[in-house]
Amino acid sequence: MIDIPTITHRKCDGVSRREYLRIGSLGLFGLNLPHLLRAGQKKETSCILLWLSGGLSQMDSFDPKPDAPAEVRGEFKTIPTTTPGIHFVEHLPRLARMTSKFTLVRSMTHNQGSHGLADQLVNTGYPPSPSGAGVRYPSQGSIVSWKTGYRNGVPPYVFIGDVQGPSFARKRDALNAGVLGAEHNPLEIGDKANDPGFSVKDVTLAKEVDLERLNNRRHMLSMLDTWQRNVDAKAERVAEVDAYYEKAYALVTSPVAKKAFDLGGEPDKLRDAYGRTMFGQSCLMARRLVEAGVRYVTVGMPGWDTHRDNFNDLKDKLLPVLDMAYSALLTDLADRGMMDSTMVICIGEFGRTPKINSEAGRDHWPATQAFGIGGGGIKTGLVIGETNQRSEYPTERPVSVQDLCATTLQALGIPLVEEYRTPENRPITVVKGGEPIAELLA
Amino acid sequence: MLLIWIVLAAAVASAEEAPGFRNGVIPALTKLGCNSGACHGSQFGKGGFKLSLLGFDVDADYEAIAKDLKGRRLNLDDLTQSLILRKPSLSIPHGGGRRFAADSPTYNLLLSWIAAGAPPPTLQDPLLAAVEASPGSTVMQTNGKLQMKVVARFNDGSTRDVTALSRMEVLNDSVAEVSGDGLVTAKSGGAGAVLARYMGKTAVVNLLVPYAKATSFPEFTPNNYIDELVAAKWKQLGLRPAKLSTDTQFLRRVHLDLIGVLPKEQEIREFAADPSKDKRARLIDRLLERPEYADFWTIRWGDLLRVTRAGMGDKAMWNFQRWLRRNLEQNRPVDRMTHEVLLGRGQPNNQEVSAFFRMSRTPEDAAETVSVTFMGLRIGCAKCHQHPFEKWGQSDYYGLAAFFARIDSKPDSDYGANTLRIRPTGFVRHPKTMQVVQPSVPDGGSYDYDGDPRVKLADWLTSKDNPWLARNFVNRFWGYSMGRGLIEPLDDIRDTNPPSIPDLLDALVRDFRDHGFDQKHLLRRIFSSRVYQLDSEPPPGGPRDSTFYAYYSPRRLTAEQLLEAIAVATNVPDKFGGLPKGTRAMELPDPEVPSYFLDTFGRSKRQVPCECSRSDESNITQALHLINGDYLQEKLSSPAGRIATLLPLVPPPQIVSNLYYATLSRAPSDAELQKAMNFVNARESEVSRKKVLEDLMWVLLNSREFIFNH
Repeated sequence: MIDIPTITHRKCDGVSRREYLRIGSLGLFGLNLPHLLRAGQKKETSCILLWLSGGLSQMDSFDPKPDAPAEVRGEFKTIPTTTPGIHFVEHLPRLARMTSKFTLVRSMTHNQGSHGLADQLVNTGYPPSPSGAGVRYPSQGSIVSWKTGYRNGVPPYVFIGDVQGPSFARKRDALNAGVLGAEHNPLEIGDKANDPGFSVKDVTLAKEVDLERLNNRRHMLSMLDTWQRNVDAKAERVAEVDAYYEKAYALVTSPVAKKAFDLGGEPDKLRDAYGRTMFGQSCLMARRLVEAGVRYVTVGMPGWDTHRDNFNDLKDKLLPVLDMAYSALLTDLADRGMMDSTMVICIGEFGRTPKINSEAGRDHWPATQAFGIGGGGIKTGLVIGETNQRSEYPTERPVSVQDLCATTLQALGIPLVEEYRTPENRPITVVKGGEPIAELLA
Repeated sequence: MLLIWIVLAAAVASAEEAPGFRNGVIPALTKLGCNSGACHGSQFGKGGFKLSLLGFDVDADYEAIAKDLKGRRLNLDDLTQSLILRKPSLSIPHGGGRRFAADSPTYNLLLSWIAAGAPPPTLQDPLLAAVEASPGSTVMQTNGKLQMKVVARFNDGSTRDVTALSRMEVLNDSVAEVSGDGLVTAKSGGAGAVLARYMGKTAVVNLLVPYAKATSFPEFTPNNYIDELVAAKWKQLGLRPAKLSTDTQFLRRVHLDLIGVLPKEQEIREFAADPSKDKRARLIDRLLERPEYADFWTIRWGDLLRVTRAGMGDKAMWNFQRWLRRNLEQNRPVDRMTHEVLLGRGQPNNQEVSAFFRMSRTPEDAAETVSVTFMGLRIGCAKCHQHPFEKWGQSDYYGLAAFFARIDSKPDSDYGANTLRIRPTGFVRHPKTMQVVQPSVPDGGSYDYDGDPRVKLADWLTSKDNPWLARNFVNRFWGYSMGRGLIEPLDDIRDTNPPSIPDLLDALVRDFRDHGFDQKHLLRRIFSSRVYQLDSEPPPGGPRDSTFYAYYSPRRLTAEQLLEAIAVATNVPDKFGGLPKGTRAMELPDPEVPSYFLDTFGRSKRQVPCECSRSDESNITQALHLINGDYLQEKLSSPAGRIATLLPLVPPPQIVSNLYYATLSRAPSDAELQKAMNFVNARESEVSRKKVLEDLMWVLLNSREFIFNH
C-alpha cells in the first residue's frame, strides 16, 4: 500500500477525502450529468433501500441489551458510538463512528411474523390478504415509478439482488407494483454486481444492428403489429407487454442509463471501500443509478433469517459486510453532496426474538425492530424510540410501518392523499393510517 | 365509588347469562387479537403473559389468566382492579395499547365473569360443534349493505349468536369490505367472500356483486355442460361472453395449449379448407395422439413432481422423466400414476419413481409435498400450530407425516445412489405431547403402523369416493387450459378459498372420476367447450379481468413454448449443453439444463412444490432479450436460417407470406402484404433485401400477436 500517494489523508474506511473529491468533480460520465439532467427542475429526492432480507436481529446490531439475562443478551460485546449513550455491537465499528450520518429508529413495531407477508407489509404499508386474493398493493418503489415514469431512458425504480428463501413469491410481490401494473415493477439487474466484467444483459445493441436499424424495425413494428391495438379494454397481460417494450427501447437507446450500469468507471479504491462483496458493489451501483436519475433503488441482501447459528453468521458473514457497505455509501453520498437529495433506509421485514433458541438462533419478532434512515430531507444523527430491557416491545415512541411509509413518501414529495385505482376503479390512498415521523422531517 | 357499584350491579345482574370462560372469555380475547401470534399468542407470550395461539388450549389459558403471577391478573375483591381489565383499557400502561374501553361490551363481559368468581372451564361446558354464517351466499348490488350473522352450534344442541365475537375477514377486498361486527358493504363487481372465524372454526359468506344490470343475453349455444354452467354464472353477474374464435385463432391456440407447438403452414391451410362441422372436435382428437402431447405434459408433470437432477441424481432424474413421458403417452390414469409414485421404492436408477421421495427427505417434508401435490392442500402451517384460518391442526399434520415415518433412504456404497427401503419400525411423535401419532388422513380415519404405511394413504387417496385427488387435478388442468383455476392459487384448496363457479368444479370432478381419472378425457371435455373457444378480445363494456371466462384470456407463451417457436420459425435450432443435437426446448428433462432464455421467461426451477415456481409474467428483461442482444439477431441472419434458405428460391411476396405462417400461424392480409412489400421494395441490392426481410421477421417475432397465445 506504500504506493498510495494520499496515504496521509486516508480516512477510517481507507479512502482519502481527496480521492472522493476527485471522483465527485469528474462526475459519472466526465460531466456532472445529474445536474445537467435536473437543470431547471426542482431538486428531487431519491431513495436507496438497503433491504436486509430475513430480518435483522435488533439486539445483535443497533439495539444491544448488555444488561439483559444471558438467554437474551447474546455473545456480542458492545462499543460506544459517536452519539453519547448509544452503543452498537462490536461488529459495526464503522457505523458506530458515523452516527451523525443517519438516524436510528429502535421502536418500529408491527404484527406480521411471516416472511413474504411481512415483506409486503413493510414495502407497501398495507397488510396483505393472507389468501392472496384481493388488492395487490404496490411497493413504495412502484408508487414512485408510477409518479415519475421513465425519463431519458432511465428507469425510475431498480432492484439489485436476487429474491430467494422462504415465501419467495410473496417477497417478489413485495417489490412489485401490484394494481399499478407490471410496468411499474422494478428493473431487476440481478445480484452479480461483484463479478468481474458485470454488465446488464441485452442493454448493448446486437452485432449488425445499429441504432438506425433498430429505430427502423421499431417503426415497422408500429405499422404492422395491430393485434388488439385498438381494443378499448385490452387484457391486462397484453397491456403490460406494451409498457415493457416502450421501456426497453428507452433503455437501449439511452446513453445515460447504460453508462450508469457500468461499475468499471469507478476507481478501485472506492470499490474496495464499499467492500468487494455482492452487497458492497450493489450499494455502489445504487449510488451510480441515483446519480443517473433513478428515483428508488432497492438493494437486497439475503441471509438475515438467522434461526440457527445467529452469532457466527452475523459476525462472519453479515454484519461486517453491512458495516462496510452502508458506511461507505453514506460517506460517498456525503462527499458528493448527494446527501440532501438521497434518502438511505436500512431495514428488514421484522426483528428477531429476544430469547435465543435451542439452535443458537433467533426467530421472527415483528413487535420490535431497529432501522437506519437519513438523508433526502430526513434528519440524521438522531436516535428515536426505545425498547424494554429485553427488547420485547417499544417503551417509547412506537413507530408503525404506516408511519415509516408516510415519512418516506412525504420526503419523496408524494402527497399522502394521492390515490391510485384498483382495476375496479376503487380509490386507494398511497398510505393509510400513518403519520409522518415529525422528528425526522426537517 | 358509586360508579363502580353501578357497574358491579350491572355485571352481577348479567352474571347468570355470562357465557363462561371457554365460550365467552376466550372468544372475546381472540376477537380482540390478544392471543394472536404477534401478541400474547406468540411462542414466548408477551410481557410475561402467554396465551395459547388463537385460544386453542383453554385450560392453559385459564392457568395463565387466573393462576400465574399469583392470580394478580384477577382481583376478586376489587373487580375493576384486575389487570386483565386495567391493562387493555389502558388505565395502566399496556404494550399492546388500548384494546377496549372501560364500559365496552367486552369489558363488561370480562367483568361479569370475574364477578361470578372467575369460574374455570369445565368438562360440562358445551363444546363448539360448528359455526354457521348466514346468508350462506348472496347477491349484492354495488354499495349495497348486508348485516351477516354468525351462529355457533354446540354439542349439547344449543346455539348462540356469536357475530360480535367472531373475527371477520374479506377474501377479495376489491369486491367488498366488512366491519368488525359483520356489516358487509359491496364495493364493485365480482365474486368475493367474507370469512368469519370463531374459536378455530370458520364459516364463509359467499358474495356475488353483478358487474352490470342483467340485460339481453346474446345467443350462446352450449357444446357441453361446461358451457351451461358458466353461462348461468354470467347471467347472474350481468356478464356477456365474447364471440366465438375464428378457425385460425382456434387452431393456433389449441396447438399451444394441448401440445405446446405452433401449427405448420400445411396444417393451417388444410384446417382452413376443411368444410366439415366437427373439424374442431376432430382436431382435438388428433392432437391428443401426437407425440408432442407427451412432451408438453411431461413438462407440466415434471414441474408438479419436481423432477431435477440436483435433487434426484442424474440417472434417477432421467429415469423419472422417461417414466412420466411413457405414462402420458399411454394415457395412464392419473390415480394409477399417483398410486405408483406414492409407493416408489428400491433403487431410483432402476425403479424410476422412488426418486420422488429424494425431493422430500423427512416425514414432515413428505407430508407437505404429498398434500400440496396430490390434494392441493397446504398444511405446512399446522407443523407448529393450528392453521390460522383452517381446521387443520398439528395432529392432522403429524398424522400425515406418520405415513412416511418408515422411509429409509441411505446411500448405496456401490452406486453412490440411494435405495428407498421401508424399515420395519419407525414412528412420528407429536412435538408437544411426545405421544406417537398414528397415521391419519385429513377429515378421515387413522391407521396402524404395519408394513409400509404409505399403502394406506395411497389406497385412500386413489379410492373412488376420495374428494381430494380428483378435485386437485381437475382444478389444475382447468387452470392450465383456461389460464385461471376455478380455485386460485391452483394449489391452495380449502373451505375458506371457495371456487369461482362451485357447481362447475363439482361437475368436472364427477366427470373425471366417472371416466377413470382419464387425463385426455378431461382435456378433451375442456377444449371442446365453447367457453374455451371464445374470442380473446374482451367484450365491450365488460370488465378486464376474466375471472369468469367471458373471453379467452391471452397468455404469454411459456418459456419453453416461446423458445421452441422461435427456433422453428427461424429454422435455427437451439443447442443445449450435454444433450444430443436436435433436442427441442420442449424435450428438456429438467431446469438444470442451462438457458438464459428459459430462466428469463420464467420456467419452473422445481425447487419448491408450488405452482408459483413457474411464472407467466412479463418483464423488461424479456423485452430487452427479444428486441436487443445477439440471441435473436444470430438466428435471423444465420446462413442456414429460414430467410437465407428462401431468398434464392422464392420471390419476396411468397417469403413474406411464409414468414407470417411461420410466426403468426396465418396468411398476411392484403394490407399487411402490401405494407411489407413496400419495405422490401424500398431496397435495391440483394444484401439489403436480406436485411429488410430479417427486419420483417424481427417485427413478427416481437409482435404481441406472436408472443401471446390468444
